[in-house]
Amino acid sequence: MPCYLHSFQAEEEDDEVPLGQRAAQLADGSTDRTAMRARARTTLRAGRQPRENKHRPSEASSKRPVPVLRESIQGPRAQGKDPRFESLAGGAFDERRFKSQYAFLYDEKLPEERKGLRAALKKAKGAEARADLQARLTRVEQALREENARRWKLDFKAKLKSKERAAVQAGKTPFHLKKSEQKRLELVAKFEELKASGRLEKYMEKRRKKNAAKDHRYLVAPRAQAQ
Amino acid sequence: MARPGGQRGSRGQPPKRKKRDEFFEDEDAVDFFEDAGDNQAGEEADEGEPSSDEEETAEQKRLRLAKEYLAGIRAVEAAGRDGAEDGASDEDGLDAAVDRRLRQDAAEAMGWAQRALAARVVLPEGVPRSIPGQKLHRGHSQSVTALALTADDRTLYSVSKDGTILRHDIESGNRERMSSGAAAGPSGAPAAHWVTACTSRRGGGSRVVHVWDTRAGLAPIKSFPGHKDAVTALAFRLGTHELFSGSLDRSVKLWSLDDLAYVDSLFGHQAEVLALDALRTERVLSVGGDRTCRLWKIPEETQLIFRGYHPVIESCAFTKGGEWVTGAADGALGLWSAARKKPLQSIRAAHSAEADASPLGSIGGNAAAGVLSVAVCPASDLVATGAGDGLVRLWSLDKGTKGTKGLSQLGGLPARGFVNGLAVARSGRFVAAGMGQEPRMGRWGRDGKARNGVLILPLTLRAEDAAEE
Repeated sequence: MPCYLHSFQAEEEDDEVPLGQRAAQLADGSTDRTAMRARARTTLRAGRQPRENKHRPSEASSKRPVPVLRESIQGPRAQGKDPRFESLAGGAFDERRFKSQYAFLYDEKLPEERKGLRAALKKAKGAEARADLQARLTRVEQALREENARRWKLDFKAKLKSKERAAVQAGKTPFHLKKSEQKRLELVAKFEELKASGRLEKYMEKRRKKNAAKDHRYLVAPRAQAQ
Repeated sequence: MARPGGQRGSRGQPPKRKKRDEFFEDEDAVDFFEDAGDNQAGEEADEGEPSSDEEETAEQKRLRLAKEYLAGIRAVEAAGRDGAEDGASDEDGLDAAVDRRLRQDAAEAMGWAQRALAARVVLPEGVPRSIPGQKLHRGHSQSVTALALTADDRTLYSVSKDGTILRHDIESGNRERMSSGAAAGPSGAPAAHWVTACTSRRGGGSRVVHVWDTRAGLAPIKSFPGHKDAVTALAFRLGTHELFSGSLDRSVKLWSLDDLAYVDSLFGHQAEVLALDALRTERVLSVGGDRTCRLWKIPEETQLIFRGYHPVIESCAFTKGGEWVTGAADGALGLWSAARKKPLQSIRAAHSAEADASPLGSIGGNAAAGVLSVAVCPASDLVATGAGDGLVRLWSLDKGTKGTKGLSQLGGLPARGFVNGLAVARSGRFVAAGMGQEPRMGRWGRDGKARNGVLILPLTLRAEDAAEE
């Protein structure tokens, strides 16, 4: 039924086969429909052989119905990336650098949030909502407090260092403080501050309570009652 | 052009030929000049098998016609050469010229050659609101969804969401209704032949392919149920009465209109089939929502799978046997070759400003950007594409040393609305655009100011000599 003109191009259309050769193919029946189908079937059945040219399209059978449960968009699966090993993700954590780059959070954003939470707390109704807001507020305040304490410590250390440097320049031999010594000096400075602002009593009271609670476990336990 | 069911008769041996291939002596050489361009096969459809008495006569007739054809070409070439050079010892040169001419004609007829039309197109400066001579054929109350132009460029069939098929006469501008109210659904797609085929909303839903005979009447002569979901694309194999249909049920089905029967189903698409195209060979191209183009080799029962970087591909058209152009939902155009699994060229924001195109492409980001239709002027290098951005863009196929290199834009013609169907005349004289207020497959965009109908946009072509200078 199909005109032989069409079967000329049933083979690779991109090959420039001379017309005479095509006519010869036609004459010996190699462009016959059944022959072509048989050839194609053997190639497909032979399996996924590596194509001689990988730029060519892949060939598949057209007779296998596509099931309902199918991959509707075929393509390379998206590769997951692990941020721990990705060179583009993060890098080593440097606290000093991080805190200096994100200082704006502690200087602007968190105080704003605290203000907003306080205002919301004033208006809020219902125990759950208030509890939730209160928790958030506490977190924000503690974050700020922690950052302030860190900065104060850093500041103190820097002051000590500069004093020492000045002394060394004046002629003294260089002397590096132990960590415990530094802590003691910090504590002393803290006490001075508290005394100056008048909060020392409250602070000492809190401290005492905490230590008492910790030491409570060392009290003698009541004897277990024999059953 | 080639008759369906052509017979390979015994070859007559003409007295003397200098180095001719056997090919040209066969019966189908006759077809090249007998009905060049005219696809009205009504009169030749029922040629039965010639009996043994008549075989000689038919053969002799073919021989005579072939000789006349050759003589005609020879005369033309000789006349052309007389003006240029002296006729002395020119026999071989003339033979070579005739040889060349015959090969060119054969190549054009078989779809291998491309006329250089794109270089001759003259487009208006800038983009005017309308070009002189353009005509909107109204008559559809809703968006036109598909178009088909006959090979002689005289008749156009259009189908629309309102369920009607209209036959348009290009010269006179007359329209007449062809269907009798069997609704043509949003995926109707007529084909240029003496029958048109279209899907219906009622009477089986849009899953049924109805076939009308343009000579017979308003009722379809046959209906083909079989698809499990709406039919979205239809295409005829050129020169035959084989019909391909693609559907939302992911299959492509073959129907024979000579036998009015179902022939075959092709499976492989993982999502809906949105467009089909076919040339003369037993290969059909389908594109769809699974972002692939698939070239089906029908006799071998295999498919070639092509993947690019596009989202859903909505339209396709062959430029020649092994190359085609596709349009995607994000406005990207692709130029493909059957030898490469990835597109030869991918143009990202073909129908929108480059600034609007997001780096990842977008589906549904801009409803007006999706390329809804692509059409190629047969056997030439002129391509037209249409989307919802108000322009029918014209492109030319650039050839490099190794074949087609890519598409380059020539310009645009104004066409307000969604261009759901496109057809370029074989002569290159006009472009027919099926316009609608809504896109073909749905209603995710609407341009209320656009007009539903078929817009005929005339193309100005420079004369051939002028183009060569």
